[in-house]
Amino acid sequence: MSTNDFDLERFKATFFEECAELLIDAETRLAELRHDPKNINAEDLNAIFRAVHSVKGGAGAFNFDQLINFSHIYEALLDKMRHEEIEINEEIIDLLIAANDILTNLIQAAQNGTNYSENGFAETKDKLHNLAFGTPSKETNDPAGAPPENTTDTKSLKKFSINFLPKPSLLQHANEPLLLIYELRELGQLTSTINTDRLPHIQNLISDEAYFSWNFVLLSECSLSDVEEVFEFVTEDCELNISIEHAEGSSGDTLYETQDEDLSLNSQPEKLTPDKPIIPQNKQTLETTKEQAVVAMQAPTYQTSSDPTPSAPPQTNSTAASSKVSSIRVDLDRVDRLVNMVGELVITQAMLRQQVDNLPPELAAFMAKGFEDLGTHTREIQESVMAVRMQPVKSVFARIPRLVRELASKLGKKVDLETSGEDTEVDKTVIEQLSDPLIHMIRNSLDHGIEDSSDDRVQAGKPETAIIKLSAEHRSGRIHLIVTDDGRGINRERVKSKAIEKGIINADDHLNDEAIDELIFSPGFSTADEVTDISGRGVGMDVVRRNISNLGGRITVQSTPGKGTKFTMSLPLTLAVLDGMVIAIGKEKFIISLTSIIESLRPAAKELHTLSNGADVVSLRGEYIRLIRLYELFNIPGAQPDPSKALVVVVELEGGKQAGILVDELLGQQQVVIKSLEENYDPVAGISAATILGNGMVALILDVDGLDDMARLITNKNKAITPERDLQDHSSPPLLKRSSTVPTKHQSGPVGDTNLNDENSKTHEYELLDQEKLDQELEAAEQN
Amino acid sequence: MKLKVSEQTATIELAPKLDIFSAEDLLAIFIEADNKGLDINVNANAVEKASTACLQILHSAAISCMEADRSFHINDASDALVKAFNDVGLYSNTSMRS
Repeated sequence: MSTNDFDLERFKATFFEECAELLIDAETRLAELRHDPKNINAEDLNAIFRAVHSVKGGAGAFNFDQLINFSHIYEALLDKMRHEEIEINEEIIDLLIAANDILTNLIQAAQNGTNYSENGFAETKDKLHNLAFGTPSKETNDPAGAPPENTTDTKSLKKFSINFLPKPSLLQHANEPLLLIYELRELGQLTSTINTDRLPHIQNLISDEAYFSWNFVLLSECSLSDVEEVFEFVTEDCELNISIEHAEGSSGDTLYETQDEDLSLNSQPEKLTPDKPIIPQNKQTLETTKEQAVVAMQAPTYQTSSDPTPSAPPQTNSTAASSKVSSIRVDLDRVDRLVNMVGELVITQAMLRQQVDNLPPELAAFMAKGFEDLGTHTREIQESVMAVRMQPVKSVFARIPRLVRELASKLGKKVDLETSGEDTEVDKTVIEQLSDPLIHMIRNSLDHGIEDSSDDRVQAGKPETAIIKLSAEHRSGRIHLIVTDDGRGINRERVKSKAIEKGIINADDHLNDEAIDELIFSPGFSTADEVTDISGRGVGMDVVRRNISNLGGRITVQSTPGKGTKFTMSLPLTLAVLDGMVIAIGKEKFIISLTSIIESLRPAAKELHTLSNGADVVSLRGEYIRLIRLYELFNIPGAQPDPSKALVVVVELEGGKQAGILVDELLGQQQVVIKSLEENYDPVAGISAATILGNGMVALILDVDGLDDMARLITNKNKAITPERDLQDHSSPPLLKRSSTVPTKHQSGPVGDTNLNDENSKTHEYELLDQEKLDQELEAAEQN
Repeated sequence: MKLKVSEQTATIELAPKLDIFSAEDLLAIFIEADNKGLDINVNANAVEKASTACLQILHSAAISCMEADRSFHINDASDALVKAFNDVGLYSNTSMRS
């Protein structure tokens, strides 16, 4: 491999991806520390240290000096903290949080190829440096910084012998031995002996292969794990033996004294006598002639045998032997390709499966068994592949505690954040889209939801400190992110008047509470009197809703005046495959996500009712469920309009509501590959995506919430367009206004449907209920 | 990185950044000089950073020259290059002279 094969940008991209993950982890841990500074979990500190250490190591490989320098100081402080050399308090944790911010900015600057102004963080840097090293920071080009002063107690010194033999691939994996040497120096006094035996003639040398190897002797108080940590990222690319020759208080003291004179000269390896210089006779001819020149070619090359360390250290101390790769980083494109191919496999399998029925019976049975097994395996492959893409929402949640803390401080409000469901997993592509809307929802809750002062809360009989709850959960094959606050709730009068003022609605519009709450998602809507940097620009919630909608998601708001507001964001778990039920309506086939389906039934005629606004409902175990007639929504000819002769698929809607979708037939369950309509066509109301069935036909995947919205919209439109009918409906409590032969209360009779042919109309029979009572019951059912 | 040939001597100007990504270019220059059997003068005053990969190349080039009885000089080595050689464990006890 040559350096031409190096795709620098690819390596850098990987580094920055890793940095993002490390920062998220560090941020999460810092939030934990901040939450309870008196009960620090040592693992949190260690994890933050490791994160910063990794950033520093990677930055070193790409010569991001500013980043190396800062992370070195930050890391040093963390190291002191984890060794309990510094008392941890809120002030220090706040400093760490600030340091993490700076680290983030420095990484961002490195990614953008710019420099981050030192003035912007000089104060924090000095504080860190003071705590870490006891002195203010001063600029240095030495990425490793100055080696720590030897203030060590001789009694606690240990002598580590380290044999470090890089594999040729070490440099190709963006590792730099010099950085390891710098890190070892930070641990104590280091004597290094280089071995150049493996270095070939210039003609045989490969530019990015490692040939040098080293024997190090380190005198330090540090632990074995500290030394091992230096080599943490190169264990796969080297042979490494670390042994402790002299434990503290043992005869090692003698060895330390004999080495001390040499070591005091800044651990220069040349102080060790070369055992066998390769070409000593050439020394004189190789001296340079100019000032400050380094005279080449009298390089001391030392044999391994000259090393004072034991020639065969105990294997039990080898870290290389014990290290195992527990994870690998895979490019998302590769995973996506795999997902697509599995999708195609599913489709092909379904197509073949359909052909089995055409085979002779004896062969069909055999093939059916084979397809059953194939189906099982395909499903396992698909689940495994999808699992690769799934990530916990923790990475998104990690940013929220600080956001709440900072905003609460800025607004002078006392707010606690409670989170749950951080480990809920969702597809990576979805997770990337969660952050912005979630932050906006939190900002809104803080700025508008929570009362302006603690006094207001106390007067309202609430605790001084408000609570914002953020939770994630899987429900109906989707992820639900819920932001709840216990604030004052939406001021509907104010929202309405603002909406009228901004021309969003007319002054004489009659809106129910839900509709008023929905106004906050209108473009340009804001109740804030002044624009702040927190919220109030009125470009927020509509954008949030649109972005979520583009992902196939929804956002809803529920608010109770004086008690608080709840935002629910619902998104698909994945954008790749789903288990669906194939249904038929007329000659059309659709897919309903299995996770949405509660049950299917054929209702008796007496269980069917129509509300005054035209909405059909079905009575199910004492509750009323809105009926959605797909053939009406999509103008499908030839469908069975009579629910008592068709089937009703009961589905769960957002917020736990239910609806019944009227279908002609259930054709069976099938795993389908989701093909985005947005990418291939345009968004279609009531349709979340499309798929290809086993026979090669395209089927649309239903968006049940979208259908419910459409059904409601049509109902409302009918109501608005025909005020006379509305009046008539209200004046006549009995139901079934569709028919010209409206039966009287509690009577049954044939009912016509304005959209149907006569033949079908005659078959409709409905039991009539008291309209008001039915409306109340339906509303109550939907509220629940 | 530049290579100038004058009679039997190749003069090589080192780049400021001798990181692993410039190692291949550096190697190519030394191989060219070796192919021509030239003495080598390396001007190293511009070097700001040096990686192990490039130090290996410089060291190998030097050894290869010596083995072929040709001279190899590093002139005006910058502090960064001297430090890198020292840090890696090479030439630390080499005398400097004006």
